[in-house]
Amino acid sequence: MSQMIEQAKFSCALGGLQTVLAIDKGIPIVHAGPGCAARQFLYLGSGAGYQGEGYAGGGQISCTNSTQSEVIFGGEKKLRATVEGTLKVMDGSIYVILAGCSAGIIGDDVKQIACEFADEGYPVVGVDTAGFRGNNYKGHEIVVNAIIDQYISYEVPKANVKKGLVNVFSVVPYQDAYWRGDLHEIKRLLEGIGLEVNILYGVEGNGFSEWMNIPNAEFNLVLSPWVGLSTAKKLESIYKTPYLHIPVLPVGLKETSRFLRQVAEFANLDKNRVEEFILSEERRYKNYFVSFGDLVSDFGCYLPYHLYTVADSTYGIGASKFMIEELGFTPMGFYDIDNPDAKAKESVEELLTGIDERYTGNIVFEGDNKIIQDDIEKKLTESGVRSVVLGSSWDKELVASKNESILVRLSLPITDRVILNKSYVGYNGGLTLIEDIYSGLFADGMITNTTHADH
Amino acid sequence: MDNFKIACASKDGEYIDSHFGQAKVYKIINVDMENKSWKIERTQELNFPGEETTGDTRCWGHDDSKVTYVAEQLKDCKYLLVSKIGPHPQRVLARYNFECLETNMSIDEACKKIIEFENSHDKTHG
Repeated sequence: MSQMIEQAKFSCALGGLQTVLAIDKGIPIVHAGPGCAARQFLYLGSGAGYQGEGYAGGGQISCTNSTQSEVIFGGEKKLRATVEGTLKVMDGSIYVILAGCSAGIIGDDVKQIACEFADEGYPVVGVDTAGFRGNNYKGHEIVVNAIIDQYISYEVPKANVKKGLVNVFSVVPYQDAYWRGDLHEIKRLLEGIGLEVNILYGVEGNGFSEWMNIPNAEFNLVLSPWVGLSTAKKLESIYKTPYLHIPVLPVGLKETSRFLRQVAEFANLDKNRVEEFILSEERRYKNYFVSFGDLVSDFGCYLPYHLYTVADSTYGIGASKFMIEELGFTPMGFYDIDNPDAKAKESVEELLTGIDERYTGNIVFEGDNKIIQDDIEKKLTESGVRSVVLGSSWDKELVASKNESILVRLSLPITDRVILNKSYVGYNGGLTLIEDIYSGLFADGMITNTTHADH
Repeated sequence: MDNFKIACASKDGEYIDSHFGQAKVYKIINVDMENKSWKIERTQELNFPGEETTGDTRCWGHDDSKVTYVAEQLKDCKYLLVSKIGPHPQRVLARYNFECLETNMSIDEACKKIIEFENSHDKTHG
């Protein structure tokens, strides 16, 4: 082995099992060694602000617990028995068999086995999510594409297009710890301008019926630099559904309004209704924003203004753009953790330098948090300036020890916060991000010697 | 490539058909990796010392002294093939470096698979 990752910022492709769990009554069936599924849950469930096992996750996951016996003699027999058992005792909307590394190496054909059950009328699909196929961003795409390819395209061969219906492909559930709140806000915004939304995951949707309705959408919305694009292209080729690709996740006033206008134009929505919604949202937002102005003027000399971002390209770009454009931060470093391919890397770099040319030379693609921390520590020492780091619980000590900087938890693992419906997306999310950034001023207690201190 | 032995828990002498905790008879297979061939070297019957075990079908997989006794009888083998084995005896057997595998295959088929595995493993790690 030539390289060891000390602090991995993502999981392996098998982490796609958490995507299945994010679907209402989605049941993952793991064909991997003992511990694989539990590790995924620890990192992507507990490590995402203690999100719990859910309907069929954590310790309840059906798993073949493959050992050396399966490696030598083949694991398909044990997998068939596990699927049969799962179908008997777990009431699910969709069952996804996910093969891990050992199954991938010995060549167990999980897709074929899924086919056997599908032929009997069960909603079962199979995916090869061996760890060496890539990280869990890739695993997420593999799972979504397989559900469409192996199940939906057979059940709904022809689209019956419904005007105003949109499918949203955006943040990766659980890898984005705030996915539930984020999807709620995205759905609220799109409904606000007059669309009907298939949000697909979590409690906000209409269960798996939304997935069966995917083919009928008027268009697909990809809200991320690269994750979800392959799905939109697949749907375009199967159902001729056009897609709108907006690479920046909207955070705050300016970007959210831009986002809504862009969607509205693409979908040819009623302009008056759209502008009315935007106006009312902006008015509300500005009221809150102005009220925070007093703090800015009172604590001006304490405010942080350097920004370091350690997050995936979806959330990282969205949050950073907001902080630079609307809060006046200076970008000091962007550490992209989602390991995009060469083409996506190029577009991430273009996006960031388009937001602020000071990003030039300060963009790092790195999945090992230790390497990232070393770089940030060096920069914080050199600058001596109080900064904001959009990072994870791992960065707590480093950030606190350097220039009384402030940590906002944006990427995994988040193990010192409980996350339910929190979100940094949209108008509401921008306000929440402001709260979290500037609450950091008082992490060590009240600031004294100012006119407004301690009362 | 080293030769090795496989112990197969088999009542009928053809299939691996016995649970570890109930297996009284093992076929010991000698594998020649040079020629990729195998043959039965001996039949190992287990007679626990000081006990009349005929007709006793209770599982003794949790009795450490009995598991250790079996391990001593089969310790010249690299692989131990049984139709089922619990985690406790596996932990005891781990001290003897057995590769303990579960299967219901025929002895012939299982030997073939193990030779294939050893061959590929040797190519990868040799």
